[in-house]
Amino acid sequence: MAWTKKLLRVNLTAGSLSEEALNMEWAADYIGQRGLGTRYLVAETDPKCEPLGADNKLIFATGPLTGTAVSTGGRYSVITKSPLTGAVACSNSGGFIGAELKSAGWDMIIFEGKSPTPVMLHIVNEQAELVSADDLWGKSVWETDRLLHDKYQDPQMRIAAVGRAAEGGCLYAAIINDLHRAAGRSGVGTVMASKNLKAVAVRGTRGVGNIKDAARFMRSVAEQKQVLADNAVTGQGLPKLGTQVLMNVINEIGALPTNNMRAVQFDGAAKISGEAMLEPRASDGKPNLTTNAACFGCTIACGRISTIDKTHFSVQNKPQYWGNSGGLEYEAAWAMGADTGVDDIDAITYTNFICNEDGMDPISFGATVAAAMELFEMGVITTKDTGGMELKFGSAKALTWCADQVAAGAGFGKVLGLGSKRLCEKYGHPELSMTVKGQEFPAYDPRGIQGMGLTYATSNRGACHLRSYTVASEVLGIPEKTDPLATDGKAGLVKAFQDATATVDSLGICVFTTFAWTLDNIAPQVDAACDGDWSVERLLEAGERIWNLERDYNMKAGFTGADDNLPPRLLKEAANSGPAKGKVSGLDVMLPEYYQLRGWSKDGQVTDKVRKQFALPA
Amino acid sequence: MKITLKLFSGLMEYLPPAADGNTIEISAPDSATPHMLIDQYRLPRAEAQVVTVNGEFLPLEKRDRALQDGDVMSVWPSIQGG
Repeated sequence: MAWTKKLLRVNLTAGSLSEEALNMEWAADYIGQRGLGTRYLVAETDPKCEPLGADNKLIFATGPLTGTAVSTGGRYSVITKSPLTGAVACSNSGGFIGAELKSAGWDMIIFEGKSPTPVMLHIVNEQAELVSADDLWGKSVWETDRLLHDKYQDPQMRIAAVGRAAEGGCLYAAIINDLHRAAGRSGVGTVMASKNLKAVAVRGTRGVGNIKDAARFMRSVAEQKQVLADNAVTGQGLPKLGTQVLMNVINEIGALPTNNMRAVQFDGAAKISGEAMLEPRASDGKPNLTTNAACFGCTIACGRISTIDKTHFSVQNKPQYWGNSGGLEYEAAWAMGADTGVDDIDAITYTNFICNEDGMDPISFGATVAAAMELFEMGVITTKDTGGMELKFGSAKALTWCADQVAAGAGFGKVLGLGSKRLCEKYGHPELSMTVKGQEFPAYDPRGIQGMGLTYATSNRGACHLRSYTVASEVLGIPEKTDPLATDGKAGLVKAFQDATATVDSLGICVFTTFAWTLDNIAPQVDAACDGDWSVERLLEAGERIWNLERDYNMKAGFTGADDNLPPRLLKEAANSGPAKGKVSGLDVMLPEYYQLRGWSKDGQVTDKVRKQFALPA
Repeated sequence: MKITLKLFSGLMEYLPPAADGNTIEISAPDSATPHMLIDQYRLPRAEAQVVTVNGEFLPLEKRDRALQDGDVMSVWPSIQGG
């Protein structure tokens, strides 16, 4: 149980909607959310389909624990084929809309086809309808949210929408829900806009029932919430400084990619850190950080709510940005800060607001700007390309200008919206794109944290930290400390993190719980909620099955083992300072062992033996 | 000898008012060790989860080794992110 056992299928071409029973045989093997959504994508799309064509599908999927009383149980994922990478895309978001969808009675929505005109999907419990969105097209996410709340006069209605970036063709456009939570990576927003789908608005009042053993579930949930509260990270560290607590430590150990990964330490790191967000500013005595915030059902509350200094150049005469909104998280602060060399926390907060307002992935955006800045400093991109703007590392004005341009899909913003890979190819320097499978790196340099190199190279959605966060072990000692500069044992570490994360991402809970919880804490909650017997072993097996399913999809889409690679900079140019000085990524050592542990062929193909072991679809 | 001590996140509150943000420059005896400085600032050892000296991790068993003149010692509580 815990699933509603219903999905909503929306054929945008025909304008028709239908209810279907959820495939519970698949749910038994793939759980929900990331795993089950991917199972449907595999069954219903050609892996070689054009990501922005009508044949691609867009799946909003909750997990069995979404909307329940479990801590952090508000997650949903968007699964599709990515226009940025051509690989499977699965972007996970918090906020409230996932739980609202579940409470309306739906486990999943599958969008197929393409609407001839802009539409939005409006759901109130069992009732769902497609409504014209002609009046919303061209509006930002924030404007769309306001207009829909005005129209329906329901303050508790939850909204996910795409902004102008997606409409303008930005390939890393996000779907933003609840104003500043994002299904951020891999261009899932671009796919949504390509279907002329502007927004999904949901109101659910049914609640989430179907709990197998409600009394045992509530006992287990209460016990595990206490574990989160008692843990120093989830009970104290994350609420206080959020993920931004990492900026200084990653810089100190020499793993903070700087200036398009030319360097591994950033002189301005302290100015854009979590600690800096607490410092009162001169103009009004207020700090950047107003408060922390929690998503649905979350007892950690790592979210940031911030303001920009009203006297800052980026918001002068723009009072719409003077209030509180979603603040900086570590990856965003890194991408738009250290990677572009910008140490102006107000400028970075402004660009973060823009990413939320118009739906852009701040990691891919910042990393693409960083690549453009390197090309500009080489003289390859000039002011003739940009229309006069000098894209120099460290320029806050250039950064904020780029955000405005990409958000509006205007001028040079069109080129920046293509992402780092296509930008660098266009200007004849593909080697300067810091990407894997076309997706930009996040905030950990693989020369200083070796496991992250293998993580990036083998991630099924392109470079990503959230597919196996070995930083937890290599830097922070959770569950046990490993040497970040060593390659020994990292293949096994990465595989273990990948499988466990795939499980957590399929349940409807946040991966941040795993800073305190292991699957030993999670399994009793799943077992009390869901039909069947859910042991740690079964959950881990499901995670490994999901990982192989995603890999198999990518192979069928045309990827090979050769795509499990890193840019030459990280393999040949040694780190230039800090403890990792002189180090390059040891990917060549780790990758063969990783393939062996996965049971794949030497060239990285999923073998028949593995396919049979996990009963993967043909 | 001169040591730069940086305390981060919730540990900042253990620094005296004279500190510059989360950093303080201190004069320490030549025999000073990380544990001695941690104790000097009344920082519970159990809260000093991540300790680096010049960016290099210092596991618990190495926190009694002597510091060197000019070292930068940084201390965090249990932290995570992503």
